[in-house]
Amino acid sequence: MLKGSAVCLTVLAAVGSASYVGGHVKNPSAPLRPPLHPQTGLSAAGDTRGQVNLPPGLRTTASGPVTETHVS
Amino acid sequence: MNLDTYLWILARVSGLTAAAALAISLLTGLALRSAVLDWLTTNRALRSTHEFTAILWIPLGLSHMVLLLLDGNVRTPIRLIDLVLPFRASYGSLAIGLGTLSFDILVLVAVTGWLRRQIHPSAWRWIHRLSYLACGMIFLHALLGGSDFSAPQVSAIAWSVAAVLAVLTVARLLWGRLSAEGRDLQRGRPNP
Repeated sequence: MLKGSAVCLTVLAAVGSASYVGGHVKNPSAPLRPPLHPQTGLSAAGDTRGQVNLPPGLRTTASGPVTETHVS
Repeated sequence: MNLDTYLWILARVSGLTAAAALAISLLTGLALRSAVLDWLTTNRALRSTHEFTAILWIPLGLSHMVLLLLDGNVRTPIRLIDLVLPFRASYGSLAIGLGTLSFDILVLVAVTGWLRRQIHPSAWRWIHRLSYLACGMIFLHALLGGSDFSAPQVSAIAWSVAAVLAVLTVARLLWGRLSAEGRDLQRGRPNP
């Protein structure tokens, strides 16, 4: 009976973990953030800095930002 | 969902489940020595369950390590050798190394447990006591490296289980095995 209880508890832990992890695939507050790409240094757990690195040759424009589409 | 994401999820699930199975193993081991579960079952059944739990946590722990090695979604610099030799990973070496070292120790404890009759009792006892150290290191491994440990749902359960096991460990260290009188009191039959 004890062995059965141990197996049941383990299965319960597996189901609970799967349910939680399945719903939280990425955790921005994870302590370890391995680099996605060694050159850029971007991390895997979600980069929350909101910065975009533009290449030097890209030209900017004086036009206003596009805030609506044809559909909207 | 691609294969790498699936492997990443499985690695985390197997890690959490291995920790749960290991907690059961530690609980039954502590109960075996301190008699706190004498009201529930016999020592023989407890010993059998304690030995059985190795069949649960070893494959789960191995799966956790192999799945992290195979996960290609994140270019994790974990190599095959990092699964055996601790503190060699180029990033998160402390967190990952603690997991590797504790796994090495626990495998040693499990193997010497199966070979107990061939080993001197005193040597076996000292090796087996290393499992307390290994479980502490696994907790630190989860705390420093676990992606889910910061979540309240996971950390609340983990800290609660760790607290119970810590109290039982301290009780075991301070008082050893409960006396016959203590067991009678537990069963509601005070000694005359």
